[in-house]
Amino acid sequence: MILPEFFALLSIDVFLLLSLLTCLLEERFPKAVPYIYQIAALIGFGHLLVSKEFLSVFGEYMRFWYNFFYLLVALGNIIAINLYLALEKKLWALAKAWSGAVTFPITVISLFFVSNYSYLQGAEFPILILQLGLVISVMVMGVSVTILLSPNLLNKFRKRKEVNKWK
Amino acid sequence: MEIRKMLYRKEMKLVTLLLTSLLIATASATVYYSLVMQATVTTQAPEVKFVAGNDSTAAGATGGDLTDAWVRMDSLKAYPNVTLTYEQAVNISCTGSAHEIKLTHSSITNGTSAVSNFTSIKFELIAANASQMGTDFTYSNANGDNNWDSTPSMSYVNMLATEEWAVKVTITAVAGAAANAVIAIVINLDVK
Repeated sequence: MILPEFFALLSIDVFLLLSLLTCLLEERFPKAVPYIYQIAALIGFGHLLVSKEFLSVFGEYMRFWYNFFYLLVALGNIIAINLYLALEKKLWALAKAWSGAVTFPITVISLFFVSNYSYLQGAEFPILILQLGLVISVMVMGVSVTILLSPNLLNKFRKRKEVNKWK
Repeated sequence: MEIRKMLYRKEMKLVTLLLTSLLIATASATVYYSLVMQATVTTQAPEVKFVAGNDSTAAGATGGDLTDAWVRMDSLKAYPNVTLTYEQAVNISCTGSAHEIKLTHSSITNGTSAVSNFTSIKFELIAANASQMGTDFTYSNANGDNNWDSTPSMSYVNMLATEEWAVKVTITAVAGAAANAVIAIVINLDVK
């Protein structure tokens, strides 16, 4: 049986992974980033300790949501790095590799565990969250497929932006 | 200067981060494991329990000798050449949900030399409609020696919630039974 704290454990591992990867790619990131992720992982550890001490005080519902929120923050950071590499640094090859090797697998693993947890607990996510998630997924997939099929589209978009800027 | 350079090298940073990562990951996994292993045990009243029957006072199953999960009937009598029956020596009550119950032999103490005074000691489970539930649970001594013929046993019987069954005890002593011969029998009530 999965406890809600499993999401915190997963998030800690995600932050540690981000710390190591950003250290490996240190030329592309500000120098403090790997250490910030280590601190984020440490916060998660503290989070687990607090959860352990107040296990009987915090209900299952509350524990799930604060652990899930922490997982969302970790996943948000993965996506943010992906966007940072793609949009800010214009490192398309690296951004694609990152999305394939880090963003996609971790998102799928997280989704698997969250759905597994909700199935075992008989919990139901609010329908709105599901719908929003589906809409965002479809939008991201649509944009990704478009860029994948016609990489020049992005260059055209960028050029148009620059022209508008000079006007 | 050289040491400072070495400290700032990428490999050193990576190794340091790797070590701290391992430390944090291990500590977190340990905390999570201790959470998983944390169990809460709460005592509660048994769903199948002993309650007083009409003959409990005569059988001696009163006061401190009768609790939910334990009963001592220390006034059961036997008379020479007489069969004495306690229709409701003690009752068994089922609450909550249905359970399967049975009587199982545990031990006989202080009775080896007294066994020849008895012909049989029979325990039966009787439902509210007076029908017997399960089989007889009988300590029998047909040949009159100092040993019971066999250790009694019975199979599980389904007891529905809210039912109350009587434990009927029938004792038969031989014609020349000696006075003050005591047999102490311990029987378990198995519930599942």
